[in-house]
Amino acid sequence: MGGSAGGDGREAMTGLLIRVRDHGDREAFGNLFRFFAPRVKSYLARLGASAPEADELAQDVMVTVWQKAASFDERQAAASTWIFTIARNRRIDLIRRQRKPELDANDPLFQPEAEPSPDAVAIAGAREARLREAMKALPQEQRQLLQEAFFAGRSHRDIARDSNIPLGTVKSRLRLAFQRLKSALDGEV
Amino acid sequence: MSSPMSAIASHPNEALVLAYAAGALEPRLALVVSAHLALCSHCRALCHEAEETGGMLIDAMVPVAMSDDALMQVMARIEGKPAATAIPAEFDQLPPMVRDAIAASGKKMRARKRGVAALDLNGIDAKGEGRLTLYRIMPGAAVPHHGHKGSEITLVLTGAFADETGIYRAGDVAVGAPSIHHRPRAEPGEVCFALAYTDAPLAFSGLLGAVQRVLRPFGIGG
Repeated sequence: MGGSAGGDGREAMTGLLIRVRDHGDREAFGNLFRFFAPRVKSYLARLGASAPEADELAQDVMVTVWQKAASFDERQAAASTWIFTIARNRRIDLIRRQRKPELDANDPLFQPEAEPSPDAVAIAGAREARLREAMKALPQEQRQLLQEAFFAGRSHRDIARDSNIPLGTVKSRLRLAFQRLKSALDGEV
Repeated sequence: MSSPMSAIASHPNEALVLAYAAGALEPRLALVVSAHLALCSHCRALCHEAEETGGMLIDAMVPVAMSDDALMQVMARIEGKPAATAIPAEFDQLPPMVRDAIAASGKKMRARKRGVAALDLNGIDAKGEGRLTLYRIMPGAAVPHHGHKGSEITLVLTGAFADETGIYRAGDVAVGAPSIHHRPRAEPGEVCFALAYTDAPLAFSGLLGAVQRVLRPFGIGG
Protein backbone atom coordinates (compact mmCIF):
# COMPACT_ATOMS: atom_id res chain seq x y z
CA MET A 1 0.00 0.00 0.00
CA GLY A 2 1.56 3.27 -1.10
CA GLY A 3 1.33 6.72 0.34
CA SER A 4 -1.61 7.54 -1.87
CA ALA A 5 -3.91 4.96 -0.29
CA GLY A 6 -5.77 7.64 1.66
CA GLY A 7 -6.37 9.62 -1.50
CA ASP A 8 -7.56 6.47 -3.28
CA GLY A 9 -10.11 5.77 -0.56
CA ARG A 10 -11.36 9.29 -0.81
CA GLU A 11 -11.63 9.05 -4.59
CA ALA A 12 -13.45 5.74 -4.33
CA MET A 13 -16.12 7.31 -2.14
CA THR A 14 -16.39 10.29 -4.46
CA GLY A 15 -16.74 7.86 -7.39
CA LEU A 16 -19.61 6.12 -5.63
CA LEU A 17 -21.37 9.42 -5.05
CA ILE A 18 -20.95 10.33 -8.74
CA ARG A 19 -22.62 7.02 -9.69
CA VAL A 20 -25.51 7.85 -7.37
CA ARG A 21 -25.80 11.31 -8.90
CA ASP A 22 -25.51 10.31 -12.55
CA HIS A 23 -27.27 6.95 -12.62
CA GLY A 24 -29.30 6.68 -9.42
CA ASP A 25 -27.08 3.66 -8.70
CA ARG A 26 -28.55 1.88 -5.68
CA GLU A 27 -25.62 -0.46 -5.20
CA ALA A 28 -23.22 2.48 -5.08
CA PHE A 29 -25.54 4.14 -2.58
CA GLY A 30 -25.50 1.01 -0.43
CA ASN A 31 -21.72 1.12 -0.32
CA LEU A 32 -21.74 4.82 0.55
CA PHE A 33 -24.26 4.06 3.27
CA ARG A 34 -22.11 1.30 4.77
CA PHE A 35 -19.12 3.60 4.97
CA PHE A 36 -20.67 6.91 5.98
CA ALA A 37 -23.82 6.13 7.99
CA PRO A 38 -21.94 4.57 10.94
CA ARG A 39 -19.46 7.48 10.94
CA VAL A 40 -22.16 10.12 10.74
CA LYS A 41 -23.96 8.33 13.57
CA SER A 42 -20.76 8.40 15.58
CA TYR A 43 -20.32 12.13 14.90
CA LEU A 44 -23.91 12.95 15.93
CA ALA A 45 -23.66 10.76 19.02
CA ARG A 46 -20.55 12.62 20.05
CA LEU A 47 -22.52 15.87 19.78
CA GLY A 48 -24.90 14.58 22.40
CA ALA A 49 -27.56 12.65 20.48
CA SER A 50 -28.79 9.46 22.12
CA ALA A 51 -28.07 6.23 20.21
CA PRO A 52 -31.58 5.89 18.70
CA GLU A 53 -31.66 9.57 17.85
CA ALA A 54 -28.21 9.45 16.23
CA ASP A 55 -29.35 6.43 14.21
CA GLU A 56 -32.45 8.25 13.02
CA LEU A 57 -30.55 11.43 12.17
CA ALA A 58 -27.88 9.45 10.29
CA GLN A 59 -30.69 7.87 8.26
CA ASP A 60 -32.06 11.34 7.52
CA VAL A 61 -28.60 12.43 6.41
CA MET A 62 -28.34 9.49 4.01
CA VAL A 63 -31.81 10.15 2.57
CA THR A 64 -30.68 13.73 1.96
CA VAL A 65 -27.50 12.44 0.30
CA TRP A 66 -29.69 10.59 -2.21
CA GLN A 67 -32.13 13.47 -2.71
CA LYS A 68 -29.47 16.15 -3.10
CA ALA A 69 -26.98 14.08 -5.09
CA ALA A 70 -27.74 16.18 -8.18
CA SER A 71 -26.08 19.16 -6.49
CA PHE A 72 -22.84 17.29 -5.69
CA ASP A 73 -19.88 18.68 -7.64
CA GLU A 74 -16.67 16.68 -7.35
CA ARG A 75 -14.64 19.69 -8.47
CA GLN A 76 -15.72 21.54 -5.34
CA ALA A 77 -15.65 18.90 -2.63
CA ALA A 78 -14.78 15.29 -1.86
CA ALA A 79 -17.68 13.04 -0.89
CA SER A 80 -16.69 13.13 2.79
CA THR A 81 -16.66 16.95 2.84
CA TRP A 82 -20.04 17.13 1.12
CA ILE A 83 -21.60 14.56 3.44
CA PHE A 84 -20.10 16.36 6.42
CA THR A 85 -21.95 19.54 5.40
CA ILE A 86 -25.25 17.62 5.29
CA ALA A 87 -24.58 16.06 8.71
CA ARG A 88 -23.47 19.46 10.00
CA ASN A 89 -26.78 20.98 8.92
CA ARG A 90 -28.62 18.29 10.87
CA ARG A 91 -26.37 19.06 13.75
CA ILE A 92 -27.50 22.68 13.63
CA ASP A 93 -31.02 21.37 14.27
CA LEU A 94 -29.69 19.19 17.04
CA ILE A 95 -27.99 22.00 18.91
CA ARG A 96 -31.36 23.58 19.53
CA ARG A 97 -32.69 20.48 21.22
CA GLN A 98 -29.75 19.29 23.21
CA ARG A 99 -27.82 20.82 25.95
CA LYS A 100 -24.23 21.16 24.92
CA PRO A 101 -22.44 17.84 25.31
CA GLU A 102 -19.59 17.55 27.74
CA LEU A 103 -16.24 17.16 26.10
CA ASP A 104 -14.74 13.77 26.65
CA ALA A 105 -11.20 14.31 27.80
CA ASN A 106 -10.40 10.73 26.79
CA ASP A 107 -11.85 11.02 23.31
CA PRO A 108 -9.55 8.77 21.25
CA LEU A 109 -9.67 11.02 18.20
CA PHE A 110 -8.06 13.78 20.19
CA GLN A 111 -5.71 11.68 22.28
CA PRO A 112 -2.14 12.11 21.22
CA GLU A 113 -0.82 9.27 23.37
CA ALA A 114 -3.56 6.69 23.05
CA GLU A 115 -2.87 3.71 20.86
CA PRO A 116 -5.87 3.04 18.64
CA SER A 117 -7.38 -0.37 19.22
CA PRO A 118 -6.50 -3.05 16.64
CA ASP A 119 -10.14 -3.08 15.53
CA ALA A 120 -10.18 0.61 14.93
CA VAL A 121 -7.00 0.37 12.89
CA ALA A 122 -8.38 -2.44 10.76
CA ILE A 123 -11.54 -0.50 10.02
CA ALA A 124 -9.97 2.86 9.65
CA GLY A 125 -7.72 2.36 6.67
CA ALA A 126 -4.73 4.34 5.54
CA ARG A 127 -6.37 7.72 5.15
CA GLU A 128 -7.72 7.72 8.67
CA ALA A 129 -4.47 6.45 10.03
CA ARG A 130 -2.75 9.40 8.41
CA LEU A 131 -5.32 11.79 9.79
CA ARG A 132 -4.77 10.38 13.26
CA GLU A 133 -1.04 10.73 12.81
CA ALA A 134 -1.52 14.33 11.74
CA MET A 135 -3.82 14.93 14.68
CA LYS A 136 -1.20 13.55 17.07
CA ALA A 137 1.40 15.85 15.58
CA LEU A 138 -0.69 18.96 16.22
CA PRO A 139 0.24 21.10 19.18
CA GLN A 140 -2.06 20.43 22.12
CA GLU A 141 -3.80 23.81 21.92
CA GLN A 142 -4.71 23.33 18.25
CA ARG A 143 -6.10 19.84 18.89
CA GLN A 144 -8.16 21.15 21.76
CA LEU A 145 -9.59 23.96 19.64
CA LEU A 146 -10.61 21.57 16.85
CA GLN A 147 -12.38 19.42 19.39
CA GLU A 148 -14.24 22.34 20.96
CA ALA A 149 -15.22 23.87 17.63
CA PHE A 150 -16.36 20.70 15.87
CA PHE A 151 -17.63 18.50 18.65
CA ALA A 152 -18.83 20.74 21.41
CA GLY A 153 -20.90 23.13 19.29
CA ARG A 154 -19.09 26.07 20.82
CA SER A 155 -18.63 29.38 19.07
CA HIS A 156 -15.12 30.71 18.64
CA ARG A 157 -16.11 33.60 20.83
CA ASP A 158 -17.08 31.32 23.73
CA ILE A 159 -13.86 29.39 23.32
CA ALA A 160 -11.86 32.61 23.35
CA ARG A 161 -13.60 33.84 26.48
CA ASP A 162 -13.31 30.61 28.42
CA SER A 163 -9.70 29.94 27.57
CA ASN A 164 -8.65 33.55 28.02
CA ILE A 165 -7.04 33.84 24.62
CA PRO A 166 -7.89 36.52 22.07
CA LEU A 167 -10.49 35.69 19.40
CA GLY A 168 -7.93 36.38 16.69
CA THR A 169 -5.64 33.76 18.21
CA VAL A 170 -8.45 31.19 18.29
CA LYS A 171 -9.06 31.81 14.60
CA SER A 172 -5.43 31.70 13.56
CA ARG A 173 -4.76 28.51 15.56
CA LEU A 174 -7.78 26.84 14.04
CA ARG A 175 -6.73 27.79 10.54
CA LEU A 176 -3.23 26.50 11.22
CA ALA A 177 -4.72 23.22 12.42
CA PHE A 178 -6.93 22.98 9.30
CA GLN A 179 -3.96 23.58 7.06
CA ARG A 180 -1.75 21.04 8.78
CA LEU A 181 -4.38 18.33 8.58
CA LYS A 182 -5.09 19.17 4.98
CA SER A 183 -1.49 19.04 3.92
CA ALA A 184 -1.00 15.78 5.79
CA LEU A 185 -3.76 14.22 3.72
CA ASP A 186 -3.65 15.98 0.39
CA GLY A 187 -0.51 17.96 0.19
CA GLU A 188 2.05 15.26 -0.43
CA VAL A 189 3.24 14.73 -3.97
CA MET B 1 -22.43 29.43 -9.04
CA SER B 2 -18.99 30.95 -9.37
CA SER B 3 -19.99 34.10 -11.19
CA PRO B 4 -17.57 36.89 -10.38
CA MET B 5 -18.91 38.75 -7.35
CA SER B 6 -16.30 41.41 -7.06
CA ALA B 7 -18.59 44.07 -5.62
CA ILE B 8 -19.18 42.59 -2.18
CA ALA B 9 -17.84 45.11 0.28
CA SER B 10 -19.21 44.01 3.64
CA HIS B 11 -18.50 40.43 4.72
CA PRO B 12 -19.46 38.61 7.88
CA ASN B 13 -16.70 38.19 10.41
CA GLU B 14 -14.43 35.17 9.87
CA ALA B 15 -15.48 33.77 13.25
CA LEU B 16 -19.09 33.74 12.10
CA VAL B 17 -18.18 31.87 8.90
CA LEU B 18 -16.06 29.33 10.78
CA ALA B 19 -18.75 28.84 13.42
CA TYR B 20 -21.19 28.18 10.58
CA ALA B 21 -18.78 25.70 8.99
CA ALA B 22 -18.45 23.77 12.23
CA GLY B 23 -22.22 23.80 12.81
CA ALA B 24 -22.24 26.07 15.85
CA LEU B 25 -24.88 28.59 14.70
CA GLU B 26 -28.61 28.49 15.34
CA PRO B 27 -30.62 27.61 12.18
CA ARG B 28 -31.81 31.10 11.28
CA LEU B 29 -28.43 32.75 11.54
CA ALA B 30 -26.97 29.73 9.73
CA LEU B 31 -29.36 30.41 6.84
CA VAL B 32 -28.19 34.02 6.58
CA VAL B 33 -24.54 32.94 6.53
CA SER B 34 -25.14 30.15 4.00
CA ALA B 35 -27.02 32.55 1.69
CA HIS B 36 -24.10 34.97 1.90
CA LEU B 37 -21.72 32.12 1.03
CA ALA B 38 -23.83 31.37 -2.06
CA LEU B 39 -23.10 34.91 -3.24
CA CYS B 40 -19.53 35.38 -2.01
CA SER B 41 -16.61 33.33 -3.31
CA HIS B 42 -14.23 34.91 -0.81
CA CYS B 43 -16.10 33.68 2.28
CA ARG B 44 -16.97 30.42 0.51
CA ALA B 45 -13.28 29.58 0.21
CA LEU B 46 -12.73 30.17 3.92
CA CYS B 47 -15.78 28.08 4.80
CA HIS B 48 -14.73 25.30 2.47
CA GLU B 49 -11.39 24.98 4.20
CA ALA B 50 -13.13 24.38 7.51
CA GLU B 51 -15.64 22.00 5.92
CA GLU B 52 -12.80 19.91 4.51
CA THR B 53 -11.57 19.53 8.05
CA GLY B 54 -15.06 18.38 8.96
CA GLY B 55 -14.93 15.85 6.11
CA MET B 56 -11.63 14.51 7.43
CA LEU B 57 -13.08 14.22 10.91
CA ILE B 58 -16.06 12.26 9.56
CA ASP B 59 -13.66 9.92 7.75
CA ALA B 60 -11.78 9.42 10.99
CA MET B 61 -14.75 8.76 13.25
CA VAL B 62 -14.81 5.33 14.83
CA PRO B 63 -17.92 3.80 13.19
CA VAL B 64 -20.94 3.07 15.38
CA ALA B 65 -23.04 0.24 13.93
CA MET B 66 -26.36 1.32 12.47
CA SER B 67 -29.56 -0.48 13.46
CA ASP B 68 -30.12 -3.68 11.48
CA ASP B 69 -32.84 -2.41 9.19
CA ALA B 70 -31.44 1.11 8.72
CA LEU B 71 -30.44 0.71 5.06
CA MET B 72 -33.79 -0.91 4.26
CA GLN B 73 -35.65 1.96 5.90
CA VAL B 74 -33.61 4.53 4.06
CA MET B 75 -34.21 2.79 0.71
CA ALA B 76 -37.95 2.70 1.45
CA ARG B 77 -37.96 6.44 2.11
CA ILE B 78 -35.99 7.06 -1.08
CA GLU B 79 -38.49 5.13 -3.20
CA GLY B 80 -41.44 7.07 -1.78
CA LYS B 81 -40.19 10.43 -3.03
CA PRO B 82 -41.88 13.50 -1.54
CA ALA B 83 -43.54 16.03 -3.81
CA ALA B 84 -41.58 19.23 -4.18
CA THR B 85 -43.40 22.31 -2.91
CA ALA B 86 -43.82 24.97 -5.58
CA ILE B 87 -43.05 28.57 -4.66
CA PRO B 88 -43.79 31.74 -6.69
CA ALA B 89 -41.53 32.50 -9.66
CA GLU B 90 -40.43 35.82 -8.15
CA PHE B 91 -38.18 33.80 -5.83
CA ASP B 92 -36.35 32.05 -8.70
CA GLN B 93 -33.49 34.51 -8.46
CA LEU B 94 -32.82 33.76 -4.78
CA PRO B 95 -30.15 31.29 -3.56
CA PRO B 96 -31.42 27.68 -3.32
CA MET B 97 -31.24 27.43 0.49
CA VAL B 98 -33.43 30.51 0.78
CA ARG B 99 -35.95 29.04 -1.68
CA ASP B 100 -35.94 25.81 0.34
CA ALA B 101 -36.61 27.75 3.54
CA ILE B 102 -39.48 29.64 1.86
CA ALA B 103 -40.98 26.36 0.65
CA ALA B 104 -40.58 24.79 4.09
CA SER B 105 -42.16 27.79 5.83
CA GLY B 106 -45.34 27.58 3.72
CA LYS B 107 -45.59 31.36 4.20
CA LYS B 108 -46.40 34.08 1.66
CA MET B 109 -45.20 37.64 1.16
CA ARG B 110 -47.41 40.07 3.11
CA ALA B 111 -47.56 43.77 2.25
CA ARG B 112 -46.25 45.92 5.09
CA LYS B 113 -46.11 49.48 3.71
CA ARG B 114 -46.12 50.98 0.27
CA GLY B 115 -43.60 49.04 -1.79
CA VAL B 116 -42.44 46.89 1.15
CA ALA B 117 -43.50 43.29 1.79
CA ALA B 118 -42.20 40.70 4.24
CA LEU B 119 -42.22 36.94 4.59
CA ASP B 120 -41.85 35.42 8.05
CA LEU B 121 -39.19 32.68 8.09
CA ASN B 122 -39.26 31.99 11.82
CA GLY B 123 -41.07 28.72 11.24
CA ILE B 124 -37.80 27.03 10.20
CA ASP B 125 -37.11 26.52 13.88
CA ALA B 126 -39.84 26.70 16.50
CA LYS B 127 -37.50 27.30 19.41
CA GLY B 128 -35.08 29.73 17.77
CA GLU B 129 -34.31 32.85 19.71
CA GLY B 130 -33.69 35.27 16.86
CA ARG B 131 -36.15 36.54 14.25
CA LEU B 132 -35.66 35.94 10.54
CA THR B 133 -37.59 37.87 7.88
CA LEU B 134 -37.29 38.03 4.10
CA TYR B 135 -38.02 41.57 2.83
CA ARG B 136 -39.01 42.60 -0.66
CA ILE B 137 -38.50 46.31 -1.24
CA MET B 138 -39.59 47.78 -4.56
CA PRO B 139 -37.12 50.15 -6.26
CA GLY B 140 -37.14 53.49 -4.48
CA ALA B 141 -39.36 52.32 -1.62
CA ALA B 142 -38.25 52.64 2.00
CA VAL B 143 -38.70 50.55 5.12
CA PRO B 144 -40.12 52.83 7.85
CA HIS B 145 -37.61 54.31 10.25
CA HIS B 146 -37.01 51.75 12.98
CA GLY B 147 -34.76 50.56 15.75
CA HIS B 148 -34.13 47.10 17.16
CA LYS B 149 -34.22 45.43 20.52
CA GLY B 150 -31.24 43.31 19.58
CA SER B 151 -28.53 43.48 16.93
CA GLU B 152 -29.61 43.11 13.33
CA ILE B 153 -27.71 41.48 10.50
CA THR B 154 -29.10 42.03 7.00
CA LEU B 155 -27.96 40.21 3.87
CA VAL B 156 -28.84 41.74 0.50
CA LEU B 157 -29.88 39.00 -1.95
CA THR B 158 -30.82 41.07 -5.03
CA GLY B 159 -30.74 44.76 -5.89
CA ALA B 160 -29.38 47.20 -3.33
CA PHE B 161 -30.45 49.39 -0.43
CA ALA B 162 -28.96 52.37 1.30
CA ASP B 163 -29.36 53.79 4.79
CA GLU B 164 -27.51 56.26 6.98
CA THR B 165 -24.56 53.87 7.25
CA GLY B 166 -23.94 53.24 3.56
CA ILE B 167 -25.05 51.40 0.45
CA TYR B 168 -25.38 47.61 0.39
CA ARG B 169 -25.50 45.50 -2.78
CA ALA B 170 -26.20 41.83 -3.49
CA GLY B 171 -24.05 39.70 -1.18
CA ASP B 172 -23.28 42.52 1.27
CA VAL B 173 -23.96 42.05 4.95
CA ALA B 174 -25.12 45.11 6.89
CA VAL B 175 -24.85 45.00 10.67
CA GLY B 176 -26.85 47.25 12.96
CA ALA B 177 -26.22 47.65 16.67
CA PRO B 178 -29.22 47.63 19.04
CA SER B 179 -28.93 51.42 19.25
CA ILE B 180 -29.20 52.06 15.52
CA HIS B 181 -32.30 53.72 14.07
CA HIS B 182 -32.39 53.61 10.33
CA ARG B 183 -34.58 53.88 7.24
CA PRO B 184 -33.29 51.54 4.52
CA ARG B 185 -34.36 52.60 1.02
CA ALA B 186 -34.05 50.37 -2.07
CA GLU B 187 -31.95 51.80 -4.86
CA PRO B 188 -33.73 52.47 -8.17
CA GLY B 189 -33.73 49.83 -10.89
CA GLU B 190 -34.06 46.40 -9.29
CA VAL B 191 -36.30 44.86 -6.66
CA CYS B 192 -34.32 44.41 -3.44
CA PHE B 193 -34.72 41.12 -1.61
CA ALA B 194 -32.98 41.04 1.76
CA LEU B 195 -32.80 38.59 4.67
CA ALA B 196 -32.88 40.29 8.07
CA TYR B 197 -31.86 38.43 11.22
CA THR B 198 -32.45 40.09 14.56
CA ASP B 199 -30.98 38.41 17.59
CA ALA B 200 -32.80 38.16 20.84
CA PRO B 201 -31.27 40.22 23.60
CA LEU B 202 -28.36 38.12 24.92
CA ALA B 203 -28.71 35.21 22.49
CA PHE B 204 -26.05 36.04 19.92
CA SER B 205 -24.99 39.43 21.03
CA GLY B 206 -21.46 38.19 21.55
CA LEU B 207 -21.07 36.92 18.02
CA LEU B 208 -22.82 39.83 16.36
CA GLY B 209 -20.95 42.14 18.65
CA ALA B 210 -17.75 40.76 17.23
CA VAL B 211 -19.01 41.45 13.71
CA GLN B 212 -19.80 45.00 14.67
CA ARG B 213 -16.40 45.57 16.11
CA VAL B 214 -14.79 44.33 12.94
CA LEU B 215 -16.99 46.51 10.75
CA ARG B 216 -16.65 49.62 12.86
CA PRO B 217 -13.39 50.77 11.28
CA PHE B 218 -15.34 51.08 8.03
CA GLY B 219 -17.95 53.22 9.71
CA ILE B 220 -20.59 50.50 9.78
CA GLY B 221 -22.47 49.19 12.72
CA GLY B 222 -21.80 52.21 14.99
